[in-house]
Amino acid sequence: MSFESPWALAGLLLFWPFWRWLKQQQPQLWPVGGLQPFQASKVQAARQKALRPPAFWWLLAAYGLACLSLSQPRLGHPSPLLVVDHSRSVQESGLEPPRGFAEVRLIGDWQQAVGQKALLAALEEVSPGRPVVVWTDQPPPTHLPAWVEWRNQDFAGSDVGGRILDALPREDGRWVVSWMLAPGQQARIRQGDWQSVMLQGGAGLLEVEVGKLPAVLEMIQNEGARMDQWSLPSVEFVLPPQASSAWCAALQALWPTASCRLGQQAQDAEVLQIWWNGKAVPLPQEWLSLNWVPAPSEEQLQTLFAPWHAWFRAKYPPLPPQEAWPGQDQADASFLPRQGAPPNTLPLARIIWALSLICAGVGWWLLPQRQKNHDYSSAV
Amino acid sequence: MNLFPAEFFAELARHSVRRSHDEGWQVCRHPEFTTLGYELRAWQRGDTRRQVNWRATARSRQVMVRQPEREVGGQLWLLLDRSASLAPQNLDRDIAQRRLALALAWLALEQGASLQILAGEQCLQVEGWSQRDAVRLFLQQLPLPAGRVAFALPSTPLRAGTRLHVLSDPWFCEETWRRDGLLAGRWTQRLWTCLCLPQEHRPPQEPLLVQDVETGQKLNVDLSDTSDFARDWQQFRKAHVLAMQQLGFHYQSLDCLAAAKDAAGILQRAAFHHVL
Repeated sequence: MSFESPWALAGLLLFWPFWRWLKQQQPQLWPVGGLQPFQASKVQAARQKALRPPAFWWLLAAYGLACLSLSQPRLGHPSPLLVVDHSRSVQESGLEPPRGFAEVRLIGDWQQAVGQKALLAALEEVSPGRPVVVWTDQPPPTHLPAWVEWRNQDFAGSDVGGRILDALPREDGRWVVSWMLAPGQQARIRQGDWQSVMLQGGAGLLEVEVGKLPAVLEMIQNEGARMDQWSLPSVEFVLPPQASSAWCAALQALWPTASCRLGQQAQDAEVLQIWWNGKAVPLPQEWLSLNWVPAPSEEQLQTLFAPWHAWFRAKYPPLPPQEAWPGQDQADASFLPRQGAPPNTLPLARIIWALSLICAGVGWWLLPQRQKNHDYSSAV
Repeated sequence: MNLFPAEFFAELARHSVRRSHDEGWQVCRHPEFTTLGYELRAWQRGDTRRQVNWRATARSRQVMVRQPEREVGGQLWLLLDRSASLAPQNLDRDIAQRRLALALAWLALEQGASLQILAGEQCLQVEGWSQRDAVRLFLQQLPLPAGRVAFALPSTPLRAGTRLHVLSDPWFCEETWRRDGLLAGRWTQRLWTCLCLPQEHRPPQEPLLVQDVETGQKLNVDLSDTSDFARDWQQFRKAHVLAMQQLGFHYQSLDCLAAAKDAAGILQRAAFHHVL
C-alpha cells in the first residue's frame, strides 16, 4: 500500500483527546474525611474495566480511519508522476501545467534548454511500473511506451514555422535581431509601421533600428498572420540624486522601454537601482564605480553600454534553437521498459472515509448520558 | 490569600457590641436572667431602622435601639479540629474555621470573657480585649490540618461558667473525642458548629477512588447511581447530629464556600444560624 498524502498520518499523533478520555475513564482520586458514607456504593475492582464505554472504541476507530483516509492510500498502484518541461519556451507560453498530481518533477529552467532526450533521461529514473505524464511543448519521441502519457497538445499552435530568437541593442542605437524560419517559410519582422525585408527559411541576423519606439517585434507571414512576438521587459532606472538628465537620456537610448528617474535622498539609496519587471535586480558591477557627475562627458556616457550589454545577456540570454524549434532532436524511447502498471480504479480513500463516518455515528449514538448532580445538603 | 481581609473585619464590626473597636464604649451587662434577651441603648451611626425600639424611644426622648444580649464574662474554650479531614481537597474549610474562631474569640474578649483556644497540639490563653491581636497571630500561624484529632489539654481546672464551642467537620469520631476527655467536662454551655464543604454534599456522580485522608484507606465506588450514597449520607449526618445532641451539644451546621470570596459570608451565615 502506498500513500499519496502520507503527511495526513501525522494526525494520528493528535491522540491527546482520546488519551485524556482514557485517563478520565479511570476513577478519579477523591480525598474525603471518612469512608463510612461510601460503603454502600463500593464496587469491585474488576468492574472498573467495564467503565470504559464502547463509544470510546468506536470513536477511536473513527478517528484512526479518518486519518488513514486523509492520507489517500492506494493498494499496490502508485500515483502518476507529472514531469513538467520548465524551460523558457514553456514558461513564455503562459500555459499552466495540469493539476491534481501528488508528485511533480520540473526539468530545465529559464536558461537551460530542454529537449526530448532530457525528458527521456528523467523518465529513466522513474520506478518501473509507475504511470508518468509528461507535459512539454516538444513533440513525442518515437517508440514511447504505453505507461508514458506525452501531453504536448496544449502547445499545438506553437509550431508555426518561425521564431524570433533574440533581439539585442547595439551601442549605436540599432538592434540586432536573430531569427529562424522553417524551410520553405517566408516571413517579415515588423515593429510598428516598420517592416523588414522578406526573410526566407533558415536562420539569420537582421539589423533593425527601432529607435525610441516601444520595442515589440513581430514575425508575420505574408497574409499578416503572426508567427511570433518578442518584447522587451520593462525596466526602471533609479539614478543617484547627484546624476542628471543626461544620464537618463543615455540609459533610455540603451533601452527603449526604460523609464528613468533621479532618486530622492530620503527614500532611495545613493547607489543606482534597476527594477526589472517590477522587481529589484542586482546591478552591473562596473556601474557601481561610476562617477555620476551632473554634466557627464561623451566618454563617460559610453561607459554605460558595455556593462549593460553583458549584464543583459546574462539576464536575458538568447532563446536556444532547441527551445525555439521543438522537435529538432528527435529521440527514440525504445530503451524504456514496455510494461506499465494497470490503472488503479479502487476508491480506497472513499471507502475508508465512509467506514470512519459509520464508526463515528455508532460511537456518538453510544455515548453515555450525563446525569444531573444531586444535592444532599438538605439531608440534614 | 489574605486570611482576614478588610471585608471580614467590616462584617465582624456589624455583629460586635462595640460599633468601633477603638472606641471606649461600655458594654451593657445583662441582668441575672438565665435566658438571653435584649438590651436597650442609644442610637449610634450604623444602626438600622429595624433595631429601633419605638416605645423606648417615646419614653426617653431619644432614639433607642435594641440589641441582643450576649453572655459576658466567664471563660470560653474554643476547640478547633485540626485533623486532616478538615481540609481533604482544599483549604476552604480550614480558612473558614480560622475566621470563625477569630470572630468568636474577639466577641468573647470584648464581652469580658477569658479565652482558651485549643487547636490540635497548639494552645493559647488570653484575657482582655487588649490581647485580641495575639489571637489573630495565633490563628495565622497555625499549621495546616494534618493527622488525626488530638488536643493538648492544659492542666488548669475549668472555671465555673466555662463555655465550650467546638469548630469541627462532619467526619466526627466519637471515640477520639471521648478518649481525650474533653466531653466529660462540666460546661455551662456546649456548642458544636459543623463546617461542611459543598463537594461533601455533592460528590461527582461517576466512578471514584475515595481515600480517607486520615487513615489512607482507599475505596472504589461508583456514584453514578445516586440512591445508595444519598441514603447513606443522610444517615451518616443524622447519626452525627444525634450523637452530639446526646452529648449535650447545641448542634449547628455551616457551609464553607470558596475562601477567597467568603470572608464576610461565613460570618453572615454564622450570625443567621446563631453561631455568633
